[in-house]
Amino acid sequence: MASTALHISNPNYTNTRIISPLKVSIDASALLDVIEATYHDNSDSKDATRTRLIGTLLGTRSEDGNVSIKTAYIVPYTEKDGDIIFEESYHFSTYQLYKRSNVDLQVVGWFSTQDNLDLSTGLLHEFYSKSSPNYSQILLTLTHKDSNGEVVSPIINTYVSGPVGLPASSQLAHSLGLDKSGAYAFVSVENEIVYSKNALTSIQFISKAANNENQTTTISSNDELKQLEDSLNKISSMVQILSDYTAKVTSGEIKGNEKIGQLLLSALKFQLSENEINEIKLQIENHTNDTLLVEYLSSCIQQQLDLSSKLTNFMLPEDALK
Amino acid sequence: MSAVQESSENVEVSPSYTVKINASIALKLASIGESSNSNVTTGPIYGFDGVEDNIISVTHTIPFPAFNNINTNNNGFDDFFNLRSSNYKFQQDYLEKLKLADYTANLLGWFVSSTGGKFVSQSLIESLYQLKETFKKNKSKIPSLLIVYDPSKSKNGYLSLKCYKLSDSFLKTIKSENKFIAKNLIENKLSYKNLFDELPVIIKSNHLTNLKIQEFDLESSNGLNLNILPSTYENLKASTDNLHEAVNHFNHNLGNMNYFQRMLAKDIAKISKWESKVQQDNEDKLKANPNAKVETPDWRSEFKPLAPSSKYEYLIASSAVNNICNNLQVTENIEFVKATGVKNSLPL
Repeated sequence: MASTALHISNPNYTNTRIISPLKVSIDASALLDVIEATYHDNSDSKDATRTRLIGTLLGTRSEDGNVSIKTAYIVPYTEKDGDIIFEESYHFSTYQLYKRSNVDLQVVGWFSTQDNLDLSTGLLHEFYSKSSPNYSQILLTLTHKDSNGEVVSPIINTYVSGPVGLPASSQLAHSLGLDKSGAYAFVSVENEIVYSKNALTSIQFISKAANNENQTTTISSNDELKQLEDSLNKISSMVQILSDYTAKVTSGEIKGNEKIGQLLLSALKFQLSENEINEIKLQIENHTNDTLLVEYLSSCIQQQLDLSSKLTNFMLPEDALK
Repeated sequence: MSAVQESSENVEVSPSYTVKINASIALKLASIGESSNSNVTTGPIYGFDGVEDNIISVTHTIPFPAFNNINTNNNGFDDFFNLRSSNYKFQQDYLEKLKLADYTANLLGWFVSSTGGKFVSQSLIESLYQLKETFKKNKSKIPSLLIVYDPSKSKNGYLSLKCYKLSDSFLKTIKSENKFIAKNLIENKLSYKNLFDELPVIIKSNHLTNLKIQEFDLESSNGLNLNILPSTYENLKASTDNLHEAVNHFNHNLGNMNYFQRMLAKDIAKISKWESKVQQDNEDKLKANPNAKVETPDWRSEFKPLAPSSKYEYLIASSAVNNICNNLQVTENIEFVKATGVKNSLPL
């Protein structure tokens, strides 16, 4: 938690016995959703006044209140003289669609591409908080410009909030005529970007695209065998670098780094017994045989298919009678 | 015959397209594949074309509502892709939402996230064909797309993300007279191996994603795909189950076709018997009275042979089996390469 004198109950406050720091995890795919959303330039001339993009965050809450953001969508709005007219019905109906697709998804908060927290932030937050009163909503902001207007790697901030001062529904606030709408205090919470092994494979390719001039990478010429080859080349070049290095160290050209030496020693230290070697040998052999068997069987099936398709090329009765 | 020619002219050879998939779609497919375990998940894909020449951009997707198991009865094999009215409405609704948010997006096709090359089904092919026809009506030449993602490969560090369209041979055949009869198949060179054409796929990133992705720890996954993994055995089991199902389906179709052929053989025997009898009668008549009028009536007026069964379902069933076999071979090839590599480089 950020150090602050302000105490705001975590979204996991429903169960007061669990006092753990709130964790917000952002699925890499949701992150990319939000990032790609920032490219979505829907500023026609009529609403060029828009200062930000806003949208809904969908995800799940675990029992201890930790939030995991799974996906996101943009909600259109119009901005006029600083007032934000937010299309509530769009938000609700789109959420219903996502919920049909995955019943576990809940509205966990919203995102904005503007980092400064102003009055409209409060008002929007109030809207989201009202629609799910049991849980505090997360605000995620994404900025890609630093204070000098330079484009930087997107900075993701997440906030939780609490209402400030008198509750809006209280008699006192009413009698004083206080306008309590949108009065929130925001406290920044930590967030973490998470991705699975599955996603990591895709991310590898995206990062390949990132290193290319035109920001694309072709995957159709990269079938599985090619991918295997790439990995092997990568590993062998790493081994090469390491062996060059050790050669230099042993010849006394450069001074060896102890840490690398230790790592190497622990990685290479295997004195296998005869039994173990035989065991490995047997396993590899079995594995090879298994793969060959599967290949053989599947090619048998394909031959049958081929044969069958040749045999079933029957003719029309008319043709048969000619 | 002329009808055949006419209709095949209607199917102009489509220019070759490249499919550009947004980085977020690639990741979304990964997370969809992850959450669906070994089940097949499908959903519509949206995007646009025409901004760059011969490039179709895929920008949005959402999985169809989770399939409820009410309808998994005997025709279960074809059920994993289903454009029931509820799904159809769902994909329209989502498209509407995209349009409301000012996205330039159209329905482009569907994705299938499945293990081991199981993606061919009759309803899928029909939906793709319908969509292609809709495109044509709207004067758009783009093909309807099918993205196939295999999450089991990703788990082991390989990305298997492919994009297909219905092949020109298939489109020609389905438009020709009598559709899927042997003659048309031969004329259009259509077999179970070329129902689909593969389209080149590229993944498109963007500047901000690039910057952000540099912060990820990618090194830890290096060499992930070099492991000789027991998990390939799990996949193997799933694949053989799929294969078993596909072969059953195929056999069912083959049974129907064999029935037709038996009936045809019987009919042909009957007809030739009847014809020789007519000829005999005629000759007898002529012998009796050389001036008698003889007729050689057409056998068609007497016999109504079974309508030739379409090879459509048979093609699809064969294709399903073939795809799973191909996939098995690719997987096993890789394992073989790894295992022999280890064997040869270690003094074993």
